[in-house]
Amino acid sequence: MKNTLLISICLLCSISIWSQRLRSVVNGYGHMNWNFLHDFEADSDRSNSYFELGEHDLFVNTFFNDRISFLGEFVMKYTKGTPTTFSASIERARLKFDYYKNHSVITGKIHTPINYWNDVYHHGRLFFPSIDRPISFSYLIPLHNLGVQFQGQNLGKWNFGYDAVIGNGISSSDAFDDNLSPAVTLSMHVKPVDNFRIGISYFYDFLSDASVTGAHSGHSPAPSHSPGEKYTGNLNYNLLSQSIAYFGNKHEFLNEFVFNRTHTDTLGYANNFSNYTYYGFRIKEKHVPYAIVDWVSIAEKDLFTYHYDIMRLWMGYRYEFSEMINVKTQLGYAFNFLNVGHGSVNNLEFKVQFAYGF
Amino acid sequence: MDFKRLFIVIQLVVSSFAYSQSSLAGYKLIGSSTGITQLTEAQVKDYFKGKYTLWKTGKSVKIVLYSSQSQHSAPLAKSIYNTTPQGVKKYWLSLVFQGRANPPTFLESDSAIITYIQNTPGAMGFIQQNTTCPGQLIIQIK
Repeated sequence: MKNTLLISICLLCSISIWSQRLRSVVNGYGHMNWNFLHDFEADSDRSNSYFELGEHDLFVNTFFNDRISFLGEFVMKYTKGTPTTFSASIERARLKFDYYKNHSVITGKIHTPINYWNDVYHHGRLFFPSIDRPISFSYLIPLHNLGVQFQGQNLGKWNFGYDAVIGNGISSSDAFDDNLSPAVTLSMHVKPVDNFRIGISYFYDFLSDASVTGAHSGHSPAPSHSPGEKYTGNLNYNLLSQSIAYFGNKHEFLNEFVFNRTHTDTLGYANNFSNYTYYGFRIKEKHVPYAIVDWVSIAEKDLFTYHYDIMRLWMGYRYEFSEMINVKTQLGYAFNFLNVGHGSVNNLEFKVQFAYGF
Repeated sequence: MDFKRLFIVIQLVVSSFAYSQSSLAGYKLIGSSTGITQLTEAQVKDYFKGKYTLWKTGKSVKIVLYSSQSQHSAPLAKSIYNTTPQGVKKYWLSLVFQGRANPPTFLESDSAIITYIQNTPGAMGFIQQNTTCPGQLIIQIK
């Protein structure tokens, strides 16, 4: 699979060399971390520190003509249990057709336009304002979708934008879905002034077996949940999201609010919430100190993510060497409000990340 | 009569001041197969910020910018994007990474920009005001 992917990428790149009519732009993005953790709950070996080689991302843009283009994002990352401990994945592969003014239709594997972070940052740590994604990306946000997307952007005075997606859902793979019901995403935003965007979005999926999480989900059961005891019945998954983002020359602000409601015949409705707030202030051209409050609460009756309640507070600092490389440091504390066994820990974390593009 | 003269003088001063304050003064806009002959300054900025995908001719909008090695990159970056040439690169990297715009082309000299635009339908960029170029490429800024 990995070889096939690499051969495909090489072929893609060579096409741009040999064909005068095609225009391709290739970029790469990567990151590496150093982490320190102190677990206040552990009986022994409370502290740990380690270096971490992060995702390395090959980003390809090809223009077949004035209206049709291809965008691909191919990621190599550490994956425990594989022979080389690394695996390759296609994170985005989409064909876009600009059919009228600022309106487009897109098909392929996309990042679900579910909130600001998932729509804008994808796998490029270089663009992240902080080291990590919001916690909700591990539990609630349906990261990818494979299907058809209708998109409009910068419409009218308020720069209105919309996205409507029909595609394989949370439990599907890149080549298969286990039920007839597609996942639906509806999203809209406005950008009334430069650098400011406010948007809302809605996502719905029906899972015929809630224990299956496929390639299009960042979902994992909460650490407090014991693996092997997952609910295997039907589940309705509704997610409402709201984003407010401002990234100006001085101030940077991002708020992501998520309301998730799941329904099962067994326990009925479960209401889950998450809220992520980031604020950064550029004190000089290249120096940005910032703070983050990140909270996720999963209801007791939820049979998909399972009961969880955690808040992380971070203080951080970003230094931008250039537009292609930056370093971030973060000191944070995780408050776990559920005191239910291993995995639900209160810990102190210190992280350093180099993120770069080329 | 004196008031009339005074009024004319004031108008001339104000208009010359306004011209000197025009953030794109010193540069002229050129493009090919765009289907337009004039734009307002606000529209120009919107185009250069990647807000438009297609021209009326059906050609895709292809933005050409001075590379950061050029002395003209800084004043244009300030005028159009209110940032530095590095900030402009970051802006475009992010926009292209989102899949919401086509990447711009960065070129160093006026001659390279003119040649590129002549050979690329839908391309648009700035050159210095005193650089000569084919008249059909020029887009007036209102």
